[in-house]
Amino acid sequence: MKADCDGVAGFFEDLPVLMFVLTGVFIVVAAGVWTSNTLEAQRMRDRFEALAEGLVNQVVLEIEARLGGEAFPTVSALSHLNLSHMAGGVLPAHRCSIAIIERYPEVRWLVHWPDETPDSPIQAVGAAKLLNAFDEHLMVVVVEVRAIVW
Amino acid sequence: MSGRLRRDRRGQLALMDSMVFFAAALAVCGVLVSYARPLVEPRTDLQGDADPAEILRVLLRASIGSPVSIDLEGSHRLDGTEDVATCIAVEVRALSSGASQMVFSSLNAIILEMMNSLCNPVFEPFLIVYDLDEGLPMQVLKLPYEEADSENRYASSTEIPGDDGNPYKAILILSPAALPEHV
Repeated sequence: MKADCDGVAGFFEDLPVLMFVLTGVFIVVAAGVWTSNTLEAQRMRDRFEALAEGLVNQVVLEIEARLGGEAFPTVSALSHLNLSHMAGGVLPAHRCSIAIIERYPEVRWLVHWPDETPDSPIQAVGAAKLLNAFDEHLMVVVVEVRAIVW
Repeated sequence: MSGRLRRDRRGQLALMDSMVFFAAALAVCGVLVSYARPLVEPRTDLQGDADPAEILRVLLRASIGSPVSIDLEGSHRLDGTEDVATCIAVEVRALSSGASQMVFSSLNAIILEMMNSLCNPVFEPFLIVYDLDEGLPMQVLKLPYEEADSENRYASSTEIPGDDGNPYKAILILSPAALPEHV
């Protein structure tokens, strides 16, 4: 074989060119992948937010229709609500969780559905609405309807 | 093999081209990252929480919950079942008549506690009440008595009918709370 000085020189001369090109391509590809993943996660989050808000609105409308009327619902009636009937049609139990919580004057869980939730949902989004209700002493308290969707 | 390498203009041009390509790649990368970066930064909006209009609505209709004595001319006693709107109406009427806000410190503490318990902890709530009866709206009550952050605020207002017939405007402001500094 014949030694080719131009070939050897060209090979080493092209190495930095190759490095620049490869690094540039890698950077563009990595940024593109990261951006598309972020946008996809945001789209998913927006969809979950809409679902969570719809779920909360549906439960609040049901509460107002069943227990509200002119006055406020009572805390005891809220604690005996069947949330699965209200929310079961929107999302299956393994995709969401709904709770009615007294926020003031004390914080306590009134009712929630489903009874068991997965250990750690990968991505969960919540929505909440506040309502007034009468407690057992006829004080007007504040309760929150909160839905988490994943 | 002579051991001497020749200068090759085409090779230098190729190197320059690759550097230009690399710079363009960095620019494209910067545009892509800057486009998506706001989506991954921590959110400071009201997402997932009740908005100020809703908080103000339930706050004004809720009972204060515990009895409060107010040392005005002729001691006034609230038994705890009165709603916040009624209590504020009593307070602003007295303040408009020249009473000190200190007289209502226990009532104001309860209202503040209610506001804080209804808001997300990342926000600091402020309640401001204006008297609309005068020519210009006049601030008669502010809870707590300190300045709110002037940026990134969320607010809602509603009118409260005063027990003296005067209309009052209550404004609830949610301002981002100062985060504790990590040492």
